[in-house]
Amino acid sequence: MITVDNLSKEFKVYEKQEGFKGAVKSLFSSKYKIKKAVDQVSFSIDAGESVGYIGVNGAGKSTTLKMMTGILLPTSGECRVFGVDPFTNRRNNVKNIGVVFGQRSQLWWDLPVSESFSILQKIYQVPQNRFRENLAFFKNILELDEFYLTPVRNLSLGQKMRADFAASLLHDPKVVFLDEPTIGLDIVVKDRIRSAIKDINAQRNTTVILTTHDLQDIQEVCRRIIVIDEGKILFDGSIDALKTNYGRWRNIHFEIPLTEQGEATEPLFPPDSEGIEVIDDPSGITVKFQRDMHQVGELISRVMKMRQVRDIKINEPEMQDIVKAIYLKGSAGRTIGVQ
Amino acid sequence: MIRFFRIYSAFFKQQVKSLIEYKLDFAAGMVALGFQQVASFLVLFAVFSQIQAIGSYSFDEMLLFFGWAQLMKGFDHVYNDNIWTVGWWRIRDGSFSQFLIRPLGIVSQIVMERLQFDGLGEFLIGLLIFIYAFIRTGLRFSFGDWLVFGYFFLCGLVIYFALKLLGASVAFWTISSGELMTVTYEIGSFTRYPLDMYKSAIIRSLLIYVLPFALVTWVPMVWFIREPQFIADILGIPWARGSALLGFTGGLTLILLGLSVGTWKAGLRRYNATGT
Repeated sequence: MITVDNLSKEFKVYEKQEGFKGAVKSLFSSKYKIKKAVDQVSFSIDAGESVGYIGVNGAGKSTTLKMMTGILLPTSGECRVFGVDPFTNRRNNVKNIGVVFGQRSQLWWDLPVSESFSILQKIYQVPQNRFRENLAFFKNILELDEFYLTPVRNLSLGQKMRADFAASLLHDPKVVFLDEPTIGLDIVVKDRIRSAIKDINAQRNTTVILTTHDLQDIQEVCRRIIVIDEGKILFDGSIDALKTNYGRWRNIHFEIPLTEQGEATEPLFPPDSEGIEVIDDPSGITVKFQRDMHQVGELISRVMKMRQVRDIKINEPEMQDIVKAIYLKGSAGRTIGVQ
Repeated sequence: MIRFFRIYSAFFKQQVKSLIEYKLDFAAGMVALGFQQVASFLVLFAVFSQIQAIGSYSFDEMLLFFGWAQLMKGFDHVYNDNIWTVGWWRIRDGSFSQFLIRPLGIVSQIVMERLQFDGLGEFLIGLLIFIYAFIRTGLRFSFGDWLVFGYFFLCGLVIYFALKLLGASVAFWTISSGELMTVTYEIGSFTRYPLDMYKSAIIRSLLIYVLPFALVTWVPMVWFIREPQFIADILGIPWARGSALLGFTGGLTLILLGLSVGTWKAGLRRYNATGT
């Protein structure tokens, strides 16, 4: 179980001025602003959960992760990872966790993957037979064999990621923190990483905390999602809850033959109808409506009666659009917590 | 501790392997460093071919300082070179973070990650010069002398270690402290020559109290070849004679180590892990 309680991290940002003159000036001034990278964040994650932690660049995702992994000292608040304070009790905490930074390999540049793994085995004191089992498991799901004896510096990005991912799990951590594990990878490798994450979560009950910009990762891997923006949590709940809360608008697209277009005389809906919007486009019309205020069937039959319709398409809201809407609203939107 | 050496030896084996892989690179490095050593030795030799002694020291005694300084620097260079990377770039690019997610001491991880074989040349040449000078000066060591010798050796290594760690720690505040570390390290070469060669009281105090390189080279050597009173006079500390001098050296070493570890710890608290 991981608990994060009113966790904050502030950075001092010294005011800089432009150009050479500005640089000289700022040398003699010590004006700074406090930037709250993470601002009183609280949540708790049970063992075995898989949580997507998302937000725009600079929202505070990585900073939160770095506090949970003991790399950064929180400015205030508390964080416990399986009962251990990550910063003050760093060495005990890191035994329980695995960490993958998509932007940076944790393996030793000059060593072959095989040697890196055997050094990690010694560092984490993994018993020989357990190590062999894990190695076989990861070699299988990540297909490490083709580059197992190659020095890390000669690996492709995708191979490095697979090796890094396996390396972070050799010691059977209770929780694995994945910071953008699929960044820059091709679809095939992405798929392999995603299915590996699902496997360890399902088969080994490893808790997964994942940050990413690829919402496909979240949709495939996570059951719960936490959205952070400007250091504050905007949403915390299941993906379905996200859709019902933010994705109330649905679209029905009616395809109308060209010959019939532009002949409409009376409007489809009374001009003061709430929760409904009609958009014309070259191939027909799109009716946007709020799911909780209107029935799909009623809308369709009404339109069918008044227009000659060739085809109908009902669109589910895309998670991408929902999240984008949350991001754009930013902290102006209200915080919704649905478990 | 056992685990430490087990992992250290794993890294060591890997390095030897890659040495074999990059034979030419290693050989070139050794040759270049060898030249450097021989050159500085020749300067000393050239000076002494004109004069037989500097101050109160004979040529052989000068060689003793020279050899010892070289040997210490070489030893430190071999085992504790990786800490430089913290000062140069590990804080700046955030790669320092990787030490924080392993269940081992941070400094031990840094130390064990890389042995610097280049330092081996320095060490060996230093050792040869030292042995030569040791024989020429006709020194004879009793068992007690060897103990004192070992004690000084240890203090010297700790001083080098503490100064490097302190220099690297500064990078937590300044992002990069490689230049500072270089300057500190270069000042260390002052102590190839005896402390009393420097007439300025400021330089002397600097080398005793601030960057105590004098305790690494000069004090240990002069201990064996001069009277206690002579050392106390030059140090400017009347009571620092005999075992009091040993205490003084150890005490200063420990203070420096404490200061350096304290700064390091304080630095860790404000490490801000740049880069995602």
